[in-house]
Amino acid sequence: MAQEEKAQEPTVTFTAKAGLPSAPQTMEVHAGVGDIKPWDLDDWPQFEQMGKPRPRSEAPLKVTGRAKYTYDLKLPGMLYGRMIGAEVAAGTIVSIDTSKAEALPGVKAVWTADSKVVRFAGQDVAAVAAVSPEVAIDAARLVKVTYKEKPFVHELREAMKNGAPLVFAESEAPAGKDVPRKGNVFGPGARSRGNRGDLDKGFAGAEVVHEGTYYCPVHTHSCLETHGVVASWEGDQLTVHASTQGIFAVREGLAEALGIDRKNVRVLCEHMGGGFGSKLGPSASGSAFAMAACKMAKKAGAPVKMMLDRKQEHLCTGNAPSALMTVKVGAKKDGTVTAVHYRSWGSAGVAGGAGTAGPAASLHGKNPNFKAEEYDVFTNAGPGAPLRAPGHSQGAFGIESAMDELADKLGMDPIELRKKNEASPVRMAQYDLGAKEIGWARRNKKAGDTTTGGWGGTAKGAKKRGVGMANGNWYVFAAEDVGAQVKVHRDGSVEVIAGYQDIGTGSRTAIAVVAAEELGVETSAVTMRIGDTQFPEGPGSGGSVTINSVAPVVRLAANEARTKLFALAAPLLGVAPGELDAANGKIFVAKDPAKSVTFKQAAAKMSGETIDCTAKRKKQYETFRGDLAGTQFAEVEVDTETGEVRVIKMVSVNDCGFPANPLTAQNQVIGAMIQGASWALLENRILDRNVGTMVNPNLESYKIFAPGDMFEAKSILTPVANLGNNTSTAGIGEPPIVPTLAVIANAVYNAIGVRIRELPITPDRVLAALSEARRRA
Amino acid sequence: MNRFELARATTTSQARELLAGKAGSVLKAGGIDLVDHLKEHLLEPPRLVDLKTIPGLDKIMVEPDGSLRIGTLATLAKVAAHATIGKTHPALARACGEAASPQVRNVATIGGNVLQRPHCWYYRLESYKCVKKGGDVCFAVAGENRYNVIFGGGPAFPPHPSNAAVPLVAYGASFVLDGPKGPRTVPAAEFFVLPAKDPTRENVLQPGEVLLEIRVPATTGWKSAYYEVRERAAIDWPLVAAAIAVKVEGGVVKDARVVLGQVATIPWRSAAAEKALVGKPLGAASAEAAGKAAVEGAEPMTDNGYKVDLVTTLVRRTVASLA
Repeated sequence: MAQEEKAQEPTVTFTAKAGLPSAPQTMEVHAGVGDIKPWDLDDWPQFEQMGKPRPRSEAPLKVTGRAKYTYDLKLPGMLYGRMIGAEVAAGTIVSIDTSKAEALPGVKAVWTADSKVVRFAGQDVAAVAAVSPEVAIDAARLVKVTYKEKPFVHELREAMKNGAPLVFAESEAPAGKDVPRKGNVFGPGARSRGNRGDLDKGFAGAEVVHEGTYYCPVHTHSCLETHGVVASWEGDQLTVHASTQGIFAVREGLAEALGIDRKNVRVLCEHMGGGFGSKLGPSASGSAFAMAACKMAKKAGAPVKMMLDRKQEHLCTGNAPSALMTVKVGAKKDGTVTAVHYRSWGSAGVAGGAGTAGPAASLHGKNPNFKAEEYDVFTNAGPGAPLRAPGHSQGAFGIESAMDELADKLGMDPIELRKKNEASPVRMAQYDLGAKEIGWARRNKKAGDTTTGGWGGTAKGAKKRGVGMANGNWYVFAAEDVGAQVKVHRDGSVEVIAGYQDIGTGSRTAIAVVAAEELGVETSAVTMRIGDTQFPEGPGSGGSVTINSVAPVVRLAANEARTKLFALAAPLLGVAPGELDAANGKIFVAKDPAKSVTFKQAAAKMSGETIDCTAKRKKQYETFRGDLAGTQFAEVEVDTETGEVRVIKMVSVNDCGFPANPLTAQNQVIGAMIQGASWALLENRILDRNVGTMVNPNLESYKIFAPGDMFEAKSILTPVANLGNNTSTAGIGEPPIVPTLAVIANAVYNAIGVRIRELPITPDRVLAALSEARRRA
Repeated sequence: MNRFELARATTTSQARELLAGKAGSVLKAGGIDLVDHLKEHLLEPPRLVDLKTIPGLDKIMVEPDGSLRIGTLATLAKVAAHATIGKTHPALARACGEAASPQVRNVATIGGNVLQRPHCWYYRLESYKCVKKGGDVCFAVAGENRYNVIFGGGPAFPPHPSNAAVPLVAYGASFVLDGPKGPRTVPAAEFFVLPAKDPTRENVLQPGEVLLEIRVPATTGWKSAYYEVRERAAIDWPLVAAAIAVKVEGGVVKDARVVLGQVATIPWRSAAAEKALVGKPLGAASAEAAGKAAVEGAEPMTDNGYKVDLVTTLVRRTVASLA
């Protein structure tokens, strides 16, 4: 989407030094007229603000509990909402009796869903709003719903069987009209993943072929702040505080659902406790709770706070689809891959979009014979939602496990096999950095035989160490309809005003860095105002687009302010504005830096109170690489008698363009490794096979990593002048979780010599795999 | 959450009166397990009788003979950190110290830990009217039973949840109760109840009775240890736990107690494993034999066969740690 040229937008050509500092390349880019020359490799060593590690500016508020999340808000007269979800997995609603709930003292409004067809347990049925959370809970329990139940299917592989109950009737087309269908299985999808060449020819030319099937269960986002809003009306003006990663999407969605003008809706999000892709819409993928809150607030004439509870969060707010992947890969004896056939069946419950072929397509860009087929399989479960590089962690688990198995068959070092087929010069430069940091040389040369590894005294006994690696990919996405405002006040203070929200990455600080660099002031001197739809339009924080979308327009607005300040400073210094430069709070003559005025002295000369510059983002232009390279490593310890797996260390090497704030960028990388390792080893949404409801809808038995599971986590960023926008920044939220499932699985294989092709890698699976291997041997 | 009154008792007899004064009232110690029950509407008591306000119930006393008297309100953290218990009853200290999280251990009491209800997910979710809640189905049998029992199941199959109870049984502890019919002391061996006898309970505590104290005999001449296997490194219910105590004289095991946790509906004494140890020197061979013997009579369900292997390994390792 980012690479498409906008029709008729006139361009200006810049020449810049792109790529890795170790291998600069001169590149011509065609930017929108009015855009400025991109920061490139010549700028990287000169930066005063960019690229320096800085704690996030809101950290003191968060660690002292003063940061106000949606969950913390309390408005005068506020009511508390409570959603009521379907208790059955499939069927129809015969009746909803709310009379007892309405009669309960303290209940002020009731809402019921329009749809009478139930396709998953937890689907919206009704909602109540009451004077306290306790009364709301009591009222919700008084709503009597009668169902006519229908057979359901709870799991991907069950849903693929002949005769499985149909989630959607034959007359319905949940995946689009033109998609082939067989029962609950829809596909292959029309979306092209760059299929090319001739598979038969490719496999005929292969000397070694590996084919394997891999399976990931459903993973839930488990945001620590559950989904929720506080909705209040003043006349026809609606204000919504939302725990969201897309305030404008909330505004658009609610305005449409309520049939009101967007101008009458204001959405705010100051701080939020995690989204990971599940909070991109107005409510959630499987619930209209925000709309219900707005309607009940209108009806009751009082603000309504509607926070989902942990159980609802698991059932109806999205999840990462399960995936069954069959990967066939052929290679020459020297490791040259000749063909890849990638097939994937994914289940996003009652939703589509469970494809996983992205990593296979991207990582095998050099291979002439490639085919991917992706199928959506419907099940009676809550709809999926994007989860941090949607489909890519699952897909990389498939393709990168298969590559590890191929390396084993070839008798090749897994890194050498990757290098042989590497299309990205950036990843090519990353392998050795990561290998050195993890101690790749220590890995077991023969998987499962720790005497062939460099473990010294720890090689003995039931606990075995192993090292594994895998690659990940992501893309340079950017939203282009983005604005920003930079205000310089007469006293020299600076505000950046932009309508994006901080999903929790610390993007306030990273964006402030960009403004500060352009204006020549300290980052701490820039005040960020974000998370309000009354500010210039911002992007949803999904697809790792935030910095890539917002930083360039902030730089443009700051550049305009800088130009205006130079015009004020020039007469003070007796030179032309074009002879000036700015850094460290000073505006100075570029050729004679001793001749300077302070930023404040220049600002004091303005007429009026503010220099107020608003910019619209120009189009995304050519990038050095359209993909973001990453490679990741892990050392694990497996107790071969108990099956317990512990992660000892992980190393992630990533490209995120120029990291504006490496500290928060690395924070994203480390967080992704934790979330991915947790997914690989523990996480599993379990629906009861006979009843169809989730048996572990809490954080006690839906297990996520806890502090005791923490490992040594190391993030290595490889700065790349990627261009594409005037700051050469790129996102980092998603790329580092893409390889993690495969990394852990490959490391476990290196430790125990037995491949585990189904996640999570829990003790029962490890013991079963070892026992099966012993039986065969 | 249903409304309830919180009655703060200051003496044990007052607590019993308050408990008897309103049908359906329940006792509250640390409240960890109780609040979970209230939130999920597994209990809807009109009154909670708070024991925390009774002075002295959290005392830990070491008697001159080395036996222990642990007040029911002693927190898991307090037991785990107790200098003497750590030396004389290390299996108990470890079981208490490994439970849950530091926050929970600082609040949860040993009495509450022993009396907590099972954590089988079907029992814990209101929507499943399971046999433990007075229904007629154990959903685990045909359902998701990876964490359920391999011993002592039927008609319900939930693992007994208490980790502290495992070493308490191994040490031959007894439970001091006070009830309408007066005080009584029940040995650990008679305290826990199989579901075959009554699937809605896990022990012999009668309505109106209060657990006041746990008495643990001295361990002179005994060695003991406790270990767990867990999916998650911390804050997780073990898949399997084992507490083993042995009395060794002249290099030979004279007496042994092998108790398994999380694999049976009660803390599970393995007579076969004990037999495998007695009369043998403590070492690799007896550890191996005890591990194998410990799974005699195991009846795995569809998805928990791995627990059989875990028992073998854990018993062997725990015995070996004592050699």
